[in-house]
Amino acid sequence: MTSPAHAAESLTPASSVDYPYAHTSLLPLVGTLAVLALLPAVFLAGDLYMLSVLAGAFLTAAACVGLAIVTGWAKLLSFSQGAIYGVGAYAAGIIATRHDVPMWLIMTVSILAGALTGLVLALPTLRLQGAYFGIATIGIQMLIIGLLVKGGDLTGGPTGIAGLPLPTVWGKELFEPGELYYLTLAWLAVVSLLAGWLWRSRIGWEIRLTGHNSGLADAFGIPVVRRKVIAFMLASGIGAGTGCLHAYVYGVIDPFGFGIQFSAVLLIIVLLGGKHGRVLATMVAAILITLLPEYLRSFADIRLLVYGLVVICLVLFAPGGLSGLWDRAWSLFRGFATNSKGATLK
Amino acid sequence: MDVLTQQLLNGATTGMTLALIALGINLIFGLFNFVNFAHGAFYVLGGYLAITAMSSLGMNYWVALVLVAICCGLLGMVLDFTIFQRILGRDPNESMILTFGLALVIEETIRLTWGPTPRNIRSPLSEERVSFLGLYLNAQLLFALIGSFVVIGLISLLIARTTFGLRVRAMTQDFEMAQLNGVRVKNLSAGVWFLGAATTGLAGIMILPAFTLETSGILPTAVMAFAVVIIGGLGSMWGSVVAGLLLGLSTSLVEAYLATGMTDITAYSLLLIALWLRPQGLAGKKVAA
Repeated sequence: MTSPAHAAESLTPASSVDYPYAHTSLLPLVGTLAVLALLPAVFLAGDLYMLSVLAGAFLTAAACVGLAIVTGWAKLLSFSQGAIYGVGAYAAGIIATRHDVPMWLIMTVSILAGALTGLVLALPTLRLQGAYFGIATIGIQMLIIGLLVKGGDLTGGPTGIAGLPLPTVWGKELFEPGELYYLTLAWLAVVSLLAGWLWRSRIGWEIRLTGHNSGLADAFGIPVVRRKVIAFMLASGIGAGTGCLHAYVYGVIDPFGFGIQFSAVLLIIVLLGGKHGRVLATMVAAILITLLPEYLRSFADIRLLVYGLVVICLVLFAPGGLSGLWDRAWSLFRGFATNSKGATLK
Repeated sequence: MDVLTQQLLNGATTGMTLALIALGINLIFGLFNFVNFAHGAFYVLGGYLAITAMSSLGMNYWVALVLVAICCGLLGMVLDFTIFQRILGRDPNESMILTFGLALVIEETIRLTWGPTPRNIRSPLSEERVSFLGLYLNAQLLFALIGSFVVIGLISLLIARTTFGLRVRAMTQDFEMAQLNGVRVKNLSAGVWFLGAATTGLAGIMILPAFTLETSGILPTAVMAFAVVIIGGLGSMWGSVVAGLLLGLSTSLVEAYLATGMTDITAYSLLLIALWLRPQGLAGKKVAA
């Protein structure tokens, strides 16, 4: 029996170039992670500032890889990833400041809380399509932040929660930038390899087919709504887990840090990575976007203005994002190398 | 009693203003299936332009009212020509992303131009109180309430009775058939964007003197107006009025009697409940929601 991927490819002739169904190798992803792991040893050794900036970038990247599953794969535009990241952070903040519980347990609780939130929110919203779904997720985002602000003693209100314990792994407290770098990189590796493995797996293919053409997915006997719920839960679980780690790494959280602007930045990164939500492209986009302010002087003031312009230009001129540009460059290169037109991605 | 009337007036006025903003969204979303998250920009911009017109250029409030509405309308037309026409007919997801980016750009531009601190607009009515049946009511709120009602009435007459309105209705019903019958999309689209943007700017300059003006109002305003359109039903102007009043009154009553700082929670819960139970809206016909 031929693999489902090939069957779908033959059914969607025109879009096979536009939509990469083919199994993607995990090697580039593993290679990138390895390079990131070697980076501090090679030439970032003393640069504590850069190490902590990169640790922040890895957290953002992990949240974006999660969001890519729902927005890139299932093609559901979600504006609520920031709030769900906040749910994970608050789960950690509330438990860790009150009880003496090991970090791995709190992390598990956060991931489950996020996935559960995703499930609860998915049930009423996933019947909605297109614009209605997007608006519903903005409603969810605003509602969660509103609840966090009004949470009284439990959530600390507008000031949030401070004084979380240091992240502890195997009895060792981590606080130096180098250690936090490896902690966040480890989480990013787990998340991105999981997502990369899912991309190649049957269920990942089903989620992507659902987003690409839900009618076709239906004809294949794929339970469309259930696949969307799974995508939403995966994205939420990853988002909340990352939020939990964020709370541990920074030690303080407040509700406005997880507001609609944060959600917007996450979404913009995913779109910059490319509309198919490929794992490596999303990761690279997240790291680039986080490093950009470090290299542009006085960029912080107009950060959101530039992001807005980037988004407008992306939609108008390069809907494929980074991975689209990469594909185009790669196919040009291949065409040049083999000297035959059209023998590239088809 | 005084608190109750004050809260009722507050809620009703906020609701009517939302209905007026929703009018533009209703027209554009109904016509082109185009989600414009930047629509709230015209509302906020209306307020800031009014500040410039009155304090820097020394204009009278009433002159500023008309000029600001026209400026917002023209801006709407410009955005239509430069950006929106280019992505017409593409995936609604793309319009959401694009206008989200546009909202960010406009918000930051406003912040850089007028500064980040909240501002107050002075109008001849904002300090006045009207005595009515022994109650003292804020004249600005009353003006915004009646003004919104009148403008919505006028626009619905325009849509119901004129050739322009006929074309808009034809286009909403069947985009391609209307085109085949000679309706020019570009002209019509420009007209609709002018109307939508001008009424939204008008809403801003009418109600904002009663409140403070903040740069961060763009997205929440647009989302609330979308909530009104969805709750009221797509394509139904009076459905929007009912939904606007429902939303405005319930948020202000919750604020007054249950707990303060609950505006967001109440409003967005209502939006989610409405989307869950009646995605086609109160008055709307069945749409592909």
